[in-house]
Amino acid sequence: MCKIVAVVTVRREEVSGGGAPVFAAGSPEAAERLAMELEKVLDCAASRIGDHHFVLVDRAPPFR
Amino acid sequence: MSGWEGFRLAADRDVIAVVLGTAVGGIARVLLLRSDYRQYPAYPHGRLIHLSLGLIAGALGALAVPALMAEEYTAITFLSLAAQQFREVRNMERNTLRAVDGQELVPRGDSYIEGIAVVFEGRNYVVMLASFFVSLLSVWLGLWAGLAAGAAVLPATRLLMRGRRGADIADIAFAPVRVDEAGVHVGDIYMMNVGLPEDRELIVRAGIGIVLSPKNDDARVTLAHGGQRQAILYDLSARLGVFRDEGEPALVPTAKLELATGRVGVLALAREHDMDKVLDAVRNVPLLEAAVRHPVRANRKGKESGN
Repeated sequence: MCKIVAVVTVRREEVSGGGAPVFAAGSPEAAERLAMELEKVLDCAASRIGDHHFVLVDRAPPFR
Repeated sequence: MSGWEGFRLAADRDVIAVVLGTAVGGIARVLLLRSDYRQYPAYPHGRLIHLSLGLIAGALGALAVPALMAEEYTAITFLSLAAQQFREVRNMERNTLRAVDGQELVPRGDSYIEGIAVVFEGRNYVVMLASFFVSLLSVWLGLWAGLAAGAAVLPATRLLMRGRRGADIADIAFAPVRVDEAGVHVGDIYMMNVGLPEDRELIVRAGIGIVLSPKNDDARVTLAHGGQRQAILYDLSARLGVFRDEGEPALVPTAKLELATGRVGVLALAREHDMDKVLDAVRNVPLLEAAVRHPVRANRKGKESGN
C-alpha cells in the first residue's frame, strides 16, 4: 500500500486533514516545480490527482 | 585364476565404475552450470563451489553401486548425508541472492530467488542420479556400456533441467507506450499515474511496451502471479539495461494485469531498444515453480471423480 508523504496543491481550500505536510503553490507551474523538487528529495513518486493537486507517495517495492 | 587375481579384476571393475561415474557426474554439473545473462553464478568462487559439490555428488552416486554390490548396505546412509548437503546449497543460494537483491535497481523478487535456489539443489540430484546410472551399467556390463550410458545421460540431464519458458504460455506482442493526462498506458492497459510531465516524457522515450496474452486459462493464473511478473521485469532489465536510479521514483518498470482479459502489460525502461532482444528476453523467462498452477486440470479431475 502507498503512503502519502506530502501534498502539493494550487487550491489550498480543497485539501484538508492531516498526516502529511501540504505545500501550497501560487500557480500550476509553481506546483509542478515544487512536486518535482520534492520527488527528488523524498525519493517518492509524484502522482497528479485531479487538475490541481499532486501527492507524493512512498511505494514499497511491489514484490519482495 | 587365483583368488588374488579375481579380487584385482573385481577391484578394477569397481574402480572403473567409480571413476567413470564420477567423471560423468562432474561433466554433467559443468554442462548444467550456466553463467548467462542472469549473471549468476558468474562469480568465480560461486562457480568453484558448485563444481566441487557437483563432483562430490557424482562421486557419491558412483560409489553407491560398488558399495551395494559388496553388500555394504550402510553405504546408502551416505546418500542421505549428501541430500543434507544439497539442501544446504539451496539455503546458501537463497541467502546470497536475497542479500544481493536489495541493491538491485530492479529486484528479482523472492519467488524468482526461490526458483533459482531449488534449481541449484535439483541439479545436484540430477548429477547424482546420472553418475549412479553410469556406474551401475559399467559394473554390470563393463566399461563400454558405462561409456555409452554416459554419452546418453549427458544430453538427458540438460533436457531434464530445461523447464518451461514464457513463450510456452503467452503470446507476446509490442504495444505503444502512451500518455493520457497523468496516466501512462501500454496499448490500452493502464499502468500508473505519473504526475510530472518530465517523467512522462522520459517514460515515453525510454519505455518499451509489451503485452502478454495468456494462451489458456492455466496460463492466465501463472501470468497473474506477482513473482512471475517481477521475473519478467528482472530478465528484461538484466538483458537490456535499466533506465532508472535511486531518487527517480517515477521511473519504475511495471507489469500490470488487465483484469477483464488476464493480459499483462509490461512497461520496461530499457537502455537498449533492440526489439529482437526484448522478444527473446520475454520468451525465455523461466516459469517459476511458485507461479505455475493448473486449476483447469484440477477442476476437470474433480468433475470426473464426481466431487
